[in-house]
Order: sequence, then structure tokens, then C-alpha cells
Amino acid sequence: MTYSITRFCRIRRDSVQADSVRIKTNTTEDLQKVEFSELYKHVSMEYPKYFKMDAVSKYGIIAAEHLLRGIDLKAKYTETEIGIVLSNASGSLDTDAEFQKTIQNKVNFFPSPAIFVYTLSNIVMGEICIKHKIKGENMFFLSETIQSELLEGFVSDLFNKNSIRCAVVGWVEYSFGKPDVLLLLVENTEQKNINQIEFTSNQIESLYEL
Amino acid sequence: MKNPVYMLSDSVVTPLGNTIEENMDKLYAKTSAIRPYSHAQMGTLFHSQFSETDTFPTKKDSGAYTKIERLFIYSIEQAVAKLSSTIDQKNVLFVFASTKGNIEYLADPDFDPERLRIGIMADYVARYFNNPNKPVVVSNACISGLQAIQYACQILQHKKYSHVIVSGADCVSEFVLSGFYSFQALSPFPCTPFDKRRAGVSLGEGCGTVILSSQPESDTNIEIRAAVSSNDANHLSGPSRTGEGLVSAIKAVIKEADIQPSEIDVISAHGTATIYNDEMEALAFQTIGVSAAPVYSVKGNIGHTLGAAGIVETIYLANSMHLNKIIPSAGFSETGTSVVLNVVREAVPQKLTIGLKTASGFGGGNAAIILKKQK
Repeated sequence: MTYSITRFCRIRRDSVQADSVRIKTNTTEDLQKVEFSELYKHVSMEYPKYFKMDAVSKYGIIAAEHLLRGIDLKAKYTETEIGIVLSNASGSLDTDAEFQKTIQNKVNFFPSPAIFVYTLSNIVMGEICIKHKIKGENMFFLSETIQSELLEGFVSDLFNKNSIRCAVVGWVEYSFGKPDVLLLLVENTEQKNINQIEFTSNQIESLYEL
Repeated sequence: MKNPVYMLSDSVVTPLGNTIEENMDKLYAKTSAIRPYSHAQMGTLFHSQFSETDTFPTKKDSGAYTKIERLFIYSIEQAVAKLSSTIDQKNVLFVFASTKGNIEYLADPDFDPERLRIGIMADYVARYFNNPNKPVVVSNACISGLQAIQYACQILQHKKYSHVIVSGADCVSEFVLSGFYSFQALSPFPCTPFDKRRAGVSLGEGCGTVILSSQPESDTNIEIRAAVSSNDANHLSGPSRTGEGLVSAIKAVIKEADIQPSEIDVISAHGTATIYNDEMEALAFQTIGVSAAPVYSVKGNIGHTLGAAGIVETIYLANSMHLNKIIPSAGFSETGTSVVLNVVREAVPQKLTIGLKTASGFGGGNAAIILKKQK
């Protein structure tokens, strides 16, 4: 069985304008300033919790909003039929360094619970699950670069054994101020149409190159 | 699972002992490795930690490796040595589970920051074994260990690898201790899962390694019947009040294993000894209809070993099934959950055929695995 990438969202630092990120989806392309409040306004989302999140979670939430905006997954799937499989290289290292600052100084030792909660690789996935009520299979891989075969293989297996019928799949990396995000919506679409992209490792790589 | 997956060999290295035999003896005796440690800023903290003289004697020189890397290597070497057949590394895949890897070196200016990435750390360990395949790394908080086993089971369906070596480890660090301390989640005494006076978690360190294959070496190898996960989609650092997410994982794993809830002989719970976790698990077990099954947590013995927990605790469960003797829940004396569970007080000799292992973690994840003894 092969499945389809019905939507995607790619966010990366613009190669020319260093203070901007390029956000591409299957229908849109935008260049935006990197400020988190700008990114938030642009997706017109009412979600104050966003401002408490660490950088990788903010980018994950923004990308998921672009990916899923305007569609009603709940009309097609139950909450547990929707899975999520994400990956990155740095885990939560950017936030780990922030937390370390709160315990580094022995005279001023105040470990911050608000930062500590973000010091796990999978928290960005947890935030996306909460925002979009994704309750099915969830997995987080770490690898130096995006492992398209790993993602395709694991997610296809979950579809094949009927554990899920829909999945958010991708790469959510943030380090040294640079976001590098690719989110895909993968579905088992009976009727193929020409706009659909087959869910294969080659297609994952092509979308990552965008 | 279409093609059955078997546990051929294992190794557990914890402050309870460096062999599975030592670990099992101490679990049955309800021995705890949790000790008080004094910290200048945080005061007295209770956790399970290796002594500084514990060097994990690996076969080849491992002087260039960090503590957690040596722990992985030492544990994997033991598990490989227990196999009855020899393995060809090119047909072997490594799957690692860890939540924080080399985090204790975060503030060390002399440490190569690349190795703070758990993917790179995994490459170092796989390279020690001259394994040519890209290791897979799972990092999904406290369910990482069970999910590494889940990944291994799925990849073994494709017959691409003869064996998958699944290894999980985490070490106690000031980083993680201070985080749990800031949450006010640390128990002021060795943790007491499911007990009335429980007051939080005790952290622990250790490593578990299990070698899986779709070809059993003997008819006594325990089968992993099913492995699944779910997400609460509710809260990052607290479990759902209803246990809905854990219920959905257990329902799915029972369905995949093609068994009835009444067939479950024993449950190895997550049992972190926080007020909310244990209450949530008790509610979930009641909803599924398994609250009468013997249940225990080993967190009172070895603390919460985070990314290693799912693997270490699955190995303990499998070994208790071999021995037909249920592990007692160290630290438990009086029911402390609104649902009365059958928490195991003393080691119970009983024929064990089917075991359930569950875990829940930060980020809302839940995972469940069903083990079945063939003979």
C-alpha cells in the first residue's frame, strides 16, 4: 500500500534575507520576519499558550497551523486514528542550554520549571497533539539529518496494521536561531488525483529540498 | 504482530546489580538501590545511582567514551554474549532509547557539543561494535524504551535484519534532578508507588538491552505479542485525570495481541509514585477491567530510569515470567489510589503466561506492550 501526502508545510531560514523565514505550503509561499509575534499574527490563531513555549515548539505549532488550517480532520477520523511521527537532530538542546543557565550559578540557583518542561525532544510533538487533539500513535526519532526512509517505513507500517488512518509526519529542528521544519499530512486516499503527492521517501526528500 | 518477535537475550545494568540474576534476586527481596544524597542547593535528595567506582568493564578499551556510552556498551556486550548463536553485524540494527544522553556534559567547555546530540552519541556506540547500519534513536520521554521495542518489532516484520539490539539508558544528572526538584516532584524518601503515603518520584540510572529476532533460539524465548502507543493530548507534564490515553493504548495492545483482558496474568505498571500518575493508572486499569490482576512497580527499587525504564522493566517482567514468580512492589504497604488495585506485597510463585507492561510520560505519551510465554 502507498499513501498520499495531502498537505505539507516547509519552514526554513531564507538564504538571502537572514532575518526572515520562508514558509511554503502546497498552496502558498510567504517570506516573513522571524519574530515570533509576527509568525503568530500571520496564522491568525487564538492560542495565548504559544507565547509560553520554547522556540522549537513555537515553530512546530506555527507549521502545524499552516498544515491543518481550514480542514476538519475530526469529520473524517476519530482522535485516536490520527497519529504523529516527528524527528529532529538537536532534541531540545537549545532549551537545555536555557535551563542550564538557571542552575549554573550556585549562588543564584533557581531551576525554572517553566523552562524544564520543554527540555525533552518530544515536547514539540506534545504541544501539537494538545492543539489539534491528536491522540493516536506518537513517535519521536533523533537523527543527524532527516531520515526519509525511516519516516516512510515506520508510518506506512502503522497505516498497514490499521493503527492509524491519518498522520502528521516530519522534521522539526531548531538550533542556533535557525528553524528547519517540514510537516506532512499523510492520508490513505482511495481516489487519487493529480495534486496528490505519493508518500515515499523520495517525495519527502523533494519537499525537504523546497 | 504478523511475524512473531522473540526476546532472545537480555542484560540489565542498574545500581541493584550488573547482571539480570542479581537484579531479579534483589527485586524479589524488595531491596532498594535508592539512597540519600546531599546537594548544596537542593538539600537531601533520594535517587538510585551507580557508585563512582563502577566503571563498567568493557571488552575493548572504552576510555574515550562517556559514562552513559560505556554503560550502553557494557550492557550490549553482556546481551550479545548470552546469545547462543553468533550474529553478523551487517544483519543487525541498533535501536537506542534515551531522554537526555550526555546531558551531564552540557556545561563542560571541553566536551564536544556534537555528542550532546543523542543521534551522534548513538553513532559512537554502534561504531564500537563495528555495526555498519545507521542506528535508530527514539526519544519520546518516559515511553522511549517501550517505543524502541515497538520500532524494533515493526522493522523485524520486513525481514531486512536478522536481529535488532534495543538498548536504553539514562543517567542521573544535576540537570534532570534540579528540573524534577523545580516541579516539586521528588519524593523526600525512597519513592513508594501506589502507596497511601507516596509523595513523588525518585530518579534512577541504568541500562537495559534486549536482543529481538523473528527467529527464536529456543522454545522458551518470550514473544512480544503487541506494542502500541497513544497520546493524552491534554497536558505536557501531568497525566490525564481520567486515564483515557492509557486506556486507549491498553485497549489497542490487547486487540493487537488478540487476547482477552482476563488473560493478563500480571501487570508491570509505570508507577512513578507521584500522586497523579498512580491514581491515573489505577483508574485506567479499572476501566479496562484488569484492576484485579497482580500489579507492581519497580520504581521503589531502581527509581525512574526515564528512557531506560521501558526496556529495563520489560526485561524484568520477561524474567519473572520465566521464573513463574511475580515481582513485589517495593515500598507499598497501604492502598493509596481511589481504585483498589491488587498491588503485589511479597514475591508470589504463580504460573505466568501473559504479561502487560505500560508506561506514560511527559508530552502526554502512553505505551503498552504484551509479552507471551510460549512454554
